[in-house]
Amino acid sequence: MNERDLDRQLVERAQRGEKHAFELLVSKYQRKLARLLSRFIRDPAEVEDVAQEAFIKAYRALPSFRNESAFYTWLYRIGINTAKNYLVAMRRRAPTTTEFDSEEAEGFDEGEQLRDINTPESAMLSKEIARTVDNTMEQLPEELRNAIALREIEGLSYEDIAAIMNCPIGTVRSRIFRAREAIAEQLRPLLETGKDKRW
Amino acid sequence: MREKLSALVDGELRSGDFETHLGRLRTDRELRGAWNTYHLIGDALRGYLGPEITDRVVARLRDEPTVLVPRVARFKRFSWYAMPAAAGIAAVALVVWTASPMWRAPEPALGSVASGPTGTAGPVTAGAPSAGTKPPAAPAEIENYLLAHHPFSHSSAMQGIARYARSVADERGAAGK
Amino acid sequence: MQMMRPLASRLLGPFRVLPFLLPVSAALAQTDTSALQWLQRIYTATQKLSYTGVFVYQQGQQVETSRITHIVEASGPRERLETLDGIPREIIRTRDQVVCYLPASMTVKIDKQSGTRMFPAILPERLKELAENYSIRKGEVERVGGYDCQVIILEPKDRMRYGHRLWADLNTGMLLKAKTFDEKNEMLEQFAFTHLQIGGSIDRAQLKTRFSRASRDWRVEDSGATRTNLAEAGWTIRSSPPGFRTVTELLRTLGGTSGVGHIVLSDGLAAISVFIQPAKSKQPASQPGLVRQGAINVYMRPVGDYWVTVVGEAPPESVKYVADAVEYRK
Repeated sequence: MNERDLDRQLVERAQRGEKHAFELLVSKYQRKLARLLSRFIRDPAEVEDVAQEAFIKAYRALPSFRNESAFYTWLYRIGINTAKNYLVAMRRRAPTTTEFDSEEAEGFDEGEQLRDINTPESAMLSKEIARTVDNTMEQLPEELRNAIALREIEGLSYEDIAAIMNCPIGTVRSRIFRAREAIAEQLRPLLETGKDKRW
Repeated sequence: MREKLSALVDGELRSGDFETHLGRLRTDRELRGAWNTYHLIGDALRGYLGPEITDRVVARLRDEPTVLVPRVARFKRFSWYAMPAAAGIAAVALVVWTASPMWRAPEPALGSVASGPTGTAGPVTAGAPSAGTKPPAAPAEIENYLLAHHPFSHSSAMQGIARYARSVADERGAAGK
Repeated sequence: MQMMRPLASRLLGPFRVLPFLLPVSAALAQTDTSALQWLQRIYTATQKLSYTGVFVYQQGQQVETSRITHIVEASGPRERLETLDGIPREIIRTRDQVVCYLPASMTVKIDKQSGTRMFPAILPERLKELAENYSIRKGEVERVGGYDCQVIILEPKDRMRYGHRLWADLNTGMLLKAKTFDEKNEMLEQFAFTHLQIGGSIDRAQLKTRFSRASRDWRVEDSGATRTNLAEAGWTIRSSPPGFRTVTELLRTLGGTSGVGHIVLSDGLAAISVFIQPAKSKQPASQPGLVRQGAINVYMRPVGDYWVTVVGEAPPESVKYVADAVEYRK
């Protein structure tokens, strides 16, 4: 069982009519996809629209998704196509829209500096979230902080983290969980108010 | 319970637990909230921050016709099976996939019916075997025959094109195995 | 986009059952005439109603889901079928022709529509024929996805054909489910609608192919089928299985080979096709014998320098019978 299996299971469920399984995938990849699209489309509000479009297209295209490739890779391609089509359409309507060479963007790698994908409305909330996460991380006991960083930032498996931190896998699992819970607890007030706004 | 969700998110939950929890996510709003928050945390740590569009996508999904894709059959899709004309075998066997009575998918049984079903006609015999075994008829060919036959076929009423309009690639794949 | 409704809810346009008169005959005397009327009703419904829906076809372990949209307009019916799993494949039918898109091989196959579809028989004399070969009666009323349906049973009178069960909506006669059975009464295949909208407003855009035919990547195969008399060319079918008679003879292109003879036999319900072509046109060389899958049987054999292929939704005995009966005489 690994993350790819997780995605595959969710896709299979979505293909069998469980829309909610697809919704979980949306929640998981929405920001990653938006970040990708922001390399093609400068206006953050448009990025949101195109991201939505891409997810709906992906849902409709589920029947043609063969579970051999990774879901995100497939979603990524749909996202790029959606963005390209959008840009082409925009060219017709608004010649002053910033042209963007999509070919250049396709070769990007994860380590690059991000573009801000926030609209003015969401920017404040995003900043708050970022600050809260950073602060909580700083205050976490070191072993919790390391565990979650190795998992989320380095992308290591529990087994690898256990080897690095020299502890049992169960401990890794528990540390990551406790780190998440601590951060979630701090985020709670933010997310709740966020829900009243456009969230 | 949420600890299991945390492991699930990392793809580190064992099989049985995994299915149970995926199921729970469907009905438990709080658990779903945790899923969303855990992913938000991960994204924040990686520096991806942006507005949440899930709710809007979910709202649009409500209006989308539900996608329904059948499970890929464990066995080759629509694979053809021809009786190999091995030297010395006079009577044929019909190689039969047993069809399940309902929608269950049991193992197909390869049955050898030496005399064919009892009926007015005699046993179905294969043509005279030739030296060595030739490959079975290229399935792409059979597709052509089926397509040509289809307008006259009663299965038009079943409105299915499943049986004959299959991809040549699938066919070649099946034939190659 | 028009929302699909699960079977339990539906929109109906006005629909009237057209009355018709049946000739009386001995065969009909043992048949439930109201069952025959149901068959007529089923056929009329699938032709005259506009509908859009999703159905699942199952055979053995293989299951395939497809979407169908059928719209009846002044110029005649138009229909589009599209498979929903794997690589999408489509069939688009109009009054005059059938176009089939197979993107996996980038092929478009075009066939002239030779008359209307044969199932269930539409003309009174075909119904009579049907009654001679099958014992036709009404079954129970059963629910299929929220619709009450009349079950119609077609039981073969001998082993040269398969049996069928049909589920028809009480209200409209629309065929919602169907099963085919072999001589052991085991189910060979079935189809059933999972979503269906009858009448109401149906988006015409559903009839448009998703493919762009203008693309030069498509290989177009036009069957160029024409009516012909193969007996003049020396081909006969010495005898047919009981109940089967020849309904049409064509000359067509098949798989790149032109001049392929195509004879169709039918018992009013099941159809058997006979294809005759020069043996050297078959590459790679085929092997004689029976190939079967579910409800379809294919039997091949050489006749002189020619190759005979028989295809049908009939038991292997019938298909072999026909193949063995093909003769060339000059």
